[in-house]
Amino acid sequence: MAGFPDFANADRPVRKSVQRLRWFVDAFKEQAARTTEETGIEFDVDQSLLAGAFSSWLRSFDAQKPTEPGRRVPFVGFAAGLMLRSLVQSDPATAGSIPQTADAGCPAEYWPEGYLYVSFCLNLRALVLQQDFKRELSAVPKLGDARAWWSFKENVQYDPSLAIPFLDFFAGEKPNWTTPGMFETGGTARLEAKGAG
Amino acid sequence: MADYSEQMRQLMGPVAPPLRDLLRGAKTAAEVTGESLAPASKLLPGTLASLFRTTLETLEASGRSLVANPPSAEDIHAASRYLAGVETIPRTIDNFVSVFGYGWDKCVANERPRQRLQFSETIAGLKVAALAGETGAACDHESHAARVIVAMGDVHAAGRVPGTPIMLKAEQRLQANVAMFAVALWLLADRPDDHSEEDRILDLSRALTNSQGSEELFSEFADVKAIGFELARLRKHI
Repeated sequence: MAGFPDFANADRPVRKSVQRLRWFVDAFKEQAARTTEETGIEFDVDQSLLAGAFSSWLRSFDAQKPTEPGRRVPFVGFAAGLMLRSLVQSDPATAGSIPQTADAGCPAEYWPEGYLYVSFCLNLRALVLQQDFKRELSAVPKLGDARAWWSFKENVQYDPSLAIPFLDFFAGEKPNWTTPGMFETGGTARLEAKGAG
Repeated sequence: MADYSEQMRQLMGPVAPPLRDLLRGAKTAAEVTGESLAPASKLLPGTLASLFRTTLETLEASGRSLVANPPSAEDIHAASRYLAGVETIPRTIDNFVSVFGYGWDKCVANERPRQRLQFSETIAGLKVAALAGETGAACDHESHAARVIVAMGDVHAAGRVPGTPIMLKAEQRLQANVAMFAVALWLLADRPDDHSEEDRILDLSRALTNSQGSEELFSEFADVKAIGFELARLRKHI
């Protein structure tokens, strides 16, 4: 997975920066460029659709944002999942042709746009946890399971909220499949416990 | 074709709002004429067809320079301060309406000429001048901005024929109000460190406004409190 843009030295926390459209657009386009470097697949990004994804995410984010400081860390993973849901729904990226050199069966080849969205959200999630909350990520992202990608693509078309537990799954955390659109203290909550210890 | 941009750049400084309104109208008229008569112009003899095209292109270029030449950082900052109510009297009314007009032109630039609504700096300026003399109750930045754009909407500063409520369908009124809100959002947003980023911030303001889907708010465009609330909610996210 291509790394995240080096915006870590910004003068405000990442979780605040991402709530600004100018930062969000820059970060997403940079992620697309890096994913192109990694995969050889070009992406065309529609800024209007990207703004739509941002608006949709912001509404969901504001509606479920916890007020208690102790729940901020667990909310990071959920908020990243909400973003994946918005990106999948708005679908602002369009992939060009797949290069012949691409690995057969790799997720980027199977669903390039989905791979870009997942990469962006996983990187964002990691950046917020590491930079804003000083949490070490012990779980290893699981991006190589072809069946998971097949299931991800099919299921989010039926229920976009399933993007939220799928991101937890890809992040190597425990997903909440039963009430995917509702914030609960699961998944990323374990990071809180590790950080506190 | 001659490059008129430098001449226009020099002219635009001292030129009064009515002349800029005329140039805007001429540009749109030329585009609509060119679009309508494109098939017929092919039937004209060579010299006449060339003259026809050159005339339209000259008119278009004159109007286009309004959009191509962005206001200075100082002008945008001053317009922003007025809209936010930091200064109750714009540095010059001409400055505020020309910056607002620039933002308007950018917001509607992608509309087809026939669908594109016009913004009149003259009509907006008259209303702004009237507002500047009023001694209203103190209010926050966004409420002041809402008051200004609603007032400009009340006098139909933007429309098919600015200054008149005629010939505007519901969707055109919506388009006008959305563009008005987007320009206000741009002016209220944090100014970028790099002046060349202004167009991008304006574009993002337009995209964020378009993605709101607040049809009720934008179709009525009369509730100053609600519009101020939306401006306050969105400005921190640009």
